[in-house]
Amino acid sequence: MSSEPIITAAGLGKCYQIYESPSERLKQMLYPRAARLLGRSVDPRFREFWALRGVDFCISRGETVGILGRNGSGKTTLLQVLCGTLPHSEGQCEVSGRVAALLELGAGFKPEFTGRENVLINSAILGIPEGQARARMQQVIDFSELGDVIDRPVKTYSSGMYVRLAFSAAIHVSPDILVVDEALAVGDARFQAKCFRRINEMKEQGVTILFVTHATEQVAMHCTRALLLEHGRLLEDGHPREVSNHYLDLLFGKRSRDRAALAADGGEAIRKVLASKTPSDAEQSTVMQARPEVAEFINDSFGSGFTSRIGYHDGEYRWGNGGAEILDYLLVAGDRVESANLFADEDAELYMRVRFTRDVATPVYGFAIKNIGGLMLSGCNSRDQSVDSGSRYRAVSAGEVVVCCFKFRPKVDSGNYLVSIGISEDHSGDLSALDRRYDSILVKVERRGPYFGMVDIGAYCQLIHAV
Amino acid sequence: MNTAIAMARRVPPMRLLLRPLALLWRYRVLLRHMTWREISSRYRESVLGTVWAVINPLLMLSIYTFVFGYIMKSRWPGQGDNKLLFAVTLFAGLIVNTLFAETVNRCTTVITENANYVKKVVFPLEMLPLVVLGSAVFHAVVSLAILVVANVFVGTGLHWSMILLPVVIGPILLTSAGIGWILASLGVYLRDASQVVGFLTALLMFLSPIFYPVTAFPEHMRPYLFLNPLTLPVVEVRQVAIEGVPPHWWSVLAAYGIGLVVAGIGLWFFERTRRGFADVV
Repeated sequence: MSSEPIITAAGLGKCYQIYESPSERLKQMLYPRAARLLGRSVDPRFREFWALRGVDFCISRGETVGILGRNGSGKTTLLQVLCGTLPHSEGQCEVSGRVAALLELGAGFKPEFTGRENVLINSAILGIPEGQARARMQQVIDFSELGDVIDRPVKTYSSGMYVRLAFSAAIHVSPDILVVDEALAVGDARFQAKCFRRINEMKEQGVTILFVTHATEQVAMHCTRALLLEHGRLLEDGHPREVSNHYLDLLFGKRSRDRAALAADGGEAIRKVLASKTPSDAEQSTVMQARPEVAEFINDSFGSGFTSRIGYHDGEYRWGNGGAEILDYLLVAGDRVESANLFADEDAELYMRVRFTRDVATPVYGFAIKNIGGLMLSGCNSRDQSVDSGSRYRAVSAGEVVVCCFKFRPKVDSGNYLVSIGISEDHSGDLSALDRRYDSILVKVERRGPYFGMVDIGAYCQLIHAV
Repeated sequence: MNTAIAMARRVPPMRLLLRPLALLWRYRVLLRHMTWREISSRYRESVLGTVWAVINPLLMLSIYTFVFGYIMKSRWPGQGDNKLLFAVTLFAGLIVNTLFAETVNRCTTVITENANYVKKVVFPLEMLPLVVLGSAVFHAVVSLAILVVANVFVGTGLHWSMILLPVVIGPILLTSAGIGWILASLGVYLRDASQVVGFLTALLMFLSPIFYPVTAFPEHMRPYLFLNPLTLPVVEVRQVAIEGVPPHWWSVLAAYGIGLVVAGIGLWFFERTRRGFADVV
């Protein structure tokens, strides 16, 4: 990867001028000019809407950049400006090299023309010389698997055939930059896999890739960098995992609004806890190996040593509405209490202590493990997989302290993993975060089994000899 | 796109005139594909296909011959009592008119009809009026070929001057392109343009010596007749194809000069105003 910039945006802005009628647009072009000659000023004849404003970034050749943002945050506008389909209103935007845009697949196709004609016209628009265009034609036909259908009008194509052709035509132009929009639903699953394989190939060849998506997993898996847009502004530009977390916060969380308030009346709450109950015997009995350290953890209802535990990851991403607070955790790996070194063939237990600051009828305790790139590997929560066998929820009251234990066997490849834990409230299906500490514990897993790849799915090979 | 606009803003006059030709060269492949597509789309899925491009003008010529030659017995001054010649003369003038009117009328809607090219893909929009023109030129060429052949049948024979047909047609192509660019842009902002232009092209047709000889026009107003872009090419096409007389060379040269200026201004106007297309299409 070289540091040669291929896309540079500085103070980039796009303003939609909303006009009452098309002729107002023409007047807007003519009147201010005339008024300037006459030395008068004229009110603009439009309403402004800034879809993008003050966006600065620089992308180097070979980077794969994910663009995240809520609906209407300006993602598509940004891509369109970069592709040149939309003129920008202010700032600078330099794009060097040929751009292949998978924005609206087949938008330039004319229905009554054959696939072949449309592809040739597509090449001609891009200024590809005739000879190359013919050569590329065969590649397009092969990739799209259209065969003889290529000589039928595209209006007779099924929608799958249409997008297959459009995708093939768009990527076989040896681009320097590939721009992919989220809705890349190209044909059946097999063809989609083929498309992703092709995109990966292009990535390896050093093609710069920009892609917009809502799937944070995809960003974590494919991207080397991520941008987060909100209300047309660039909110964050950085590591995919951090940006993804920030994005999730925008989507679901109201930023822990009274974290400070919580800290302030913490003392009061703790006193209440002391007056109320400690975890019942029944709950304790569910913990199979009640080692002294574990018992001590369970019975200690104040300890809030979360950040001083082994494996604590200070890059954690914490958010929630303050209805609960995760005070502490304890990691038990096999027979080693408080160890962040796990083995793939050994059970691990993660204890989490939560204090509720208000009554919660439907608390949900959750746990997830991600790889270092941010890809969610697995997880569970108490709603879907009840820890309190029987009812799905166990109502808690303000001031109550609950300890829950997640048991798991990390059957994954060797490496570092991030564990997220959280406590949410279920509002008939919608989870609102009370306190979530994403990526808060860093564990190291060592693989000892005979499998390869990201996870162990219990696969094995058995030879059967024919008689 | 912005660079195109910036360039259009401060081009020296010479560049302004040559830009349309440069454009033609740069996108020649695109123009060829798109024009052919435009032509064949008109006949697509018809049984006879592009043969219609030949049949249509033949039918029109037959109707003119029947109506004007046999029923109305119209005779063109100075052509004697030839039943067929009036129709052929009329046909020659109408070829020029059709070329111009078809281009200009279609241009008013060509951008809005191709909204996808404005909003969704990067496309040299300035080529769309040229594609319309290219299709009109194709039909004009077919008609001119029929005109040449018809001359053999009506008795005026083949003249060497017929090879000058492309030369005398040239200026009207430039003018049509220039006006086409302006109307293509105006048509986006003022949707009434297509109605007005339909009327104006009809007006220009009747105010040009297509249905009558130049000499039939009131003498003191005759110079104004030549302000009509159709007049000169109509007269010249008839001269070189039917009368066998070479054109007046200075007029041809002047017509080329004016044509280049109109085309240059048209393209300049188009590029200056296209920025707003995406806002209103």
